[in-house]
Amino acid sequence: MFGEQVMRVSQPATAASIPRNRHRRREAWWGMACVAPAVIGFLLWQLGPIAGSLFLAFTDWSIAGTPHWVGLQNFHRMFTADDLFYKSLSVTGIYTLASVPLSMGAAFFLALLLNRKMPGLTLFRTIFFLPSVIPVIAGSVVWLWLFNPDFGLLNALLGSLGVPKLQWIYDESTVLPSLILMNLWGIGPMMVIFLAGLQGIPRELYEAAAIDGGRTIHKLWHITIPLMTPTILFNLILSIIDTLQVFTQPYVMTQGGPNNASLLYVLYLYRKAFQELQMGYASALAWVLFVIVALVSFLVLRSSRRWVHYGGGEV
Amino acid sequence: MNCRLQQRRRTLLTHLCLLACLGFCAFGPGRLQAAGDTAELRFTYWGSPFEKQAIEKAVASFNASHPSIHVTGQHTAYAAYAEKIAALVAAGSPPDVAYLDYAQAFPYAANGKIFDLASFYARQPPDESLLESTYYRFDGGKKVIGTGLATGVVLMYYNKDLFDRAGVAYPPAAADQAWTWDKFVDAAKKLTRDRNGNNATNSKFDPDKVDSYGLSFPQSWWGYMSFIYSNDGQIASEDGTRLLLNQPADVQVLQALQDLIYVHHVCPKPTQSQNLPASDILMQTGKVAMGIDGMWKVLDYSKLHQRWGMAALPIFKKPVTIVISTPKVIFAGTKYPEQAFEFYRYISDPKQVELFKEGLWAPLEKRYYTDPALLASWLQGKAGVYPAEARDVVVDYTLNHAAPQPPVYWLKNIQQIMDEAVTPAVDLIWSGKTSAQDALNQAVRKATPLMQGRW
Repeated sequence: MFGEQVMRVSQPATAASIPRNRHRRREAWWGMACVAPAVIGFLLWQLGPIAGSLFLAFTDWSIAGTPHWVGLQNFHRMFTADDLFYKSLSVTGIYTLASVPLSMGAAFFLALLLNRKMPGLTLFRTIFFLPSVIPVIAGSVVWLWLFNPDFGLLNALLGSLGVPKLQWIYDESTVLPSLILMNLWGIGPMMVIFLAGLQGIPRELYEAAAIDGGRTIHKLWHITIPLMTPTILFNLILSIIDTLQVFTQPYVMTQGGPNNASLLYVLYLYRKAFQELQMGYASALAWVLFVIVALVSFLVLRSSRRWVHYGGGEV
Repeated sequence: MNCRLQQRRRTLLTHLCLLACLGFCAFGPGRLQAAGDTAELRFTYWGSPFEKQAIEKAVASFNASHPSIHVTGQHTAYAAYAEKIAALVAAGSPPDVAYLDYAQAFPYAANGKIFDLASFYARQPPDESLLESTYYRFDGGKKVIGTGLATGVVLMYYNKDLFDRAGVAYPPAAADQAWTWDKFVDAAKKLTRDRNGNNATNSKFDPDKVDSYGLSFPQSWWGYMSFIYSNDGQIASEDGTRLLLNQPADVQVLQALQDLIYVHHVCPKPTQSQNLPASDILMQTGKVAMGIDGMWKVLDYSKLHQRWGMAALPIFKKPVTIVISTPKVIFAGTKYPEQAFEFYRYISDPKQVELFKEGLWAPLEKRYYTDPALLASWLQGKAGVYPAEARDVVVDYTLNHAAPQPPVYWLKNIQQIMDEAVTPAVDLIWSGKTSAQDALNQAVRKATPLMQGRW
């Protein structure tokens, strides 16, 4: 692909431009050499396994044995005979539907606050970004302690306000809300992207609005949000994709329990692949998730035509 | 000149490529064979940094004493271990000797990936025979896919200070004098205190503000299965076609455990104690008076600056414990089965591996329990590790009161049965919203299509 383009560039060679031409060709050669590791790496370690898993999805491979072609049997079993497939889909769906808007809202709000001029700004920005630097596992273990019903900090704080003991991640009905709450901790990167977007909004617009007597809420509604829609779209898609694939937190903290109430999709997939060694079935699960992610992303992008405003009119 | 420059660059690039290839060969899977006829073996294992150190030491001493064999140990954290082995097997280069989770060992064996050790064990002298409970048998008992790497019984630890404070007599260590369940519950109530200092027998006791609990037990299957055997119950039918957890004996046990949490308020939910620090830490901080745990915890307890003791589990009908023994296998792909077996035995030999006298592992061979000198070599191998009562609660318990092998040793498809039927149901019991009977009925219903017999 790269080669083709480069060749076309160097085609209109005339006798007069031979040295330049040679120089270009050499440059092209080096260019290709430099991207080669990435391209080879992608083909070998990403595209290869991806293609491999597509094949495996139609087999009964259990890692140890040889794969046998079983046609659509894996998918048939998934859709007709696997309660946990539906359970994990609904858990993941609920988690995504709640977590994405909540964390985006929180990140946007924080970005708005941190976009103002005030003393200690850098400090606050650092503090809010800090949790994202901590490894997920370490963060999860800390949260295990916070959530502990008997000895944890959260119940101790709430208890002093007279709130009765909550079971947090140890009860079927509160485990998902607890994980969603915990997820808010890691909104740092999203906040930074929003912040970058906010700083790209021309100040004249606010000044113009102020002259017209616009208040903060008007500025937010009529200037900030419309101009931020491309950033919002970007964060929305990334966050949906990330959230649909959450694995580490439930793996470390709940193992999908209690009673499968936090059996997120990728955790279920992992269980099938590496604990029960049903690699064929797990590959099929992975492809179903891929289709879901692709579909959701497509729908969001499709809808974005109606609500995303790019500066400089229609593209 | 231009041309020469180009040529030089090309040479440079070629060199770089060659170097990269060389690096790949050196670190890639196909390592160069050592010269001579040294048997190269790869050994994979997991464990804490402490275990890793002890195993590394044992591997080094094995290599030093066996010049014709060279073992390379590869340590992987437990959390990533199954994936690592799966990747090695899928790539066609499994290790020679490996720890393996039971849930993985059997499926690999079913695909012919595990070396059958039956002939090796058949020619062992009878006085070196192993505890029956540690064999992983396969193919209706004809094959041995491995034995445990060590053994460990389930027992009870307790904090002597908390017992003294509550004025409760220490639980007995001898199995035949073990507490009955009622006596045990009574003690646990006296040992549970709320923040006002009232214990659970007091009418003013506030179960929402417990300061220290009488008991903690693990949520894992081995936390409750020994009690089921004590009550003459069964987990699954002998032929492995039916799950029997909803039978009266089993239900009675799990109901009794649920009552410890919600009726007597003497223990935190097991689901949460799973994520709490281990029982030894809870006990050290005075949060728990008794902890049901494995013998392997002696290692951690022996490091506590505290007065602790070991006791037999309370009994339903008879004194019973179970022997836990993580499998260790030789992969069928090994080029050197004899040498691999030599190492296989060495790495579980109490004379060679320090973990036995450190209180993490108990031996596999019977003579290490019956021969006084051999017994002393690990039980008293290091001062201050095993308390005196270990002779009852580890040695006598293992030899005379171990239940037959729990289903992890023989039930097909156990991982899926546990994940999809048993664990969710047991979660429900611990949540206190469902009676043991209803939850276990659900477990049996969900397990029915998953039952595939026995290995």
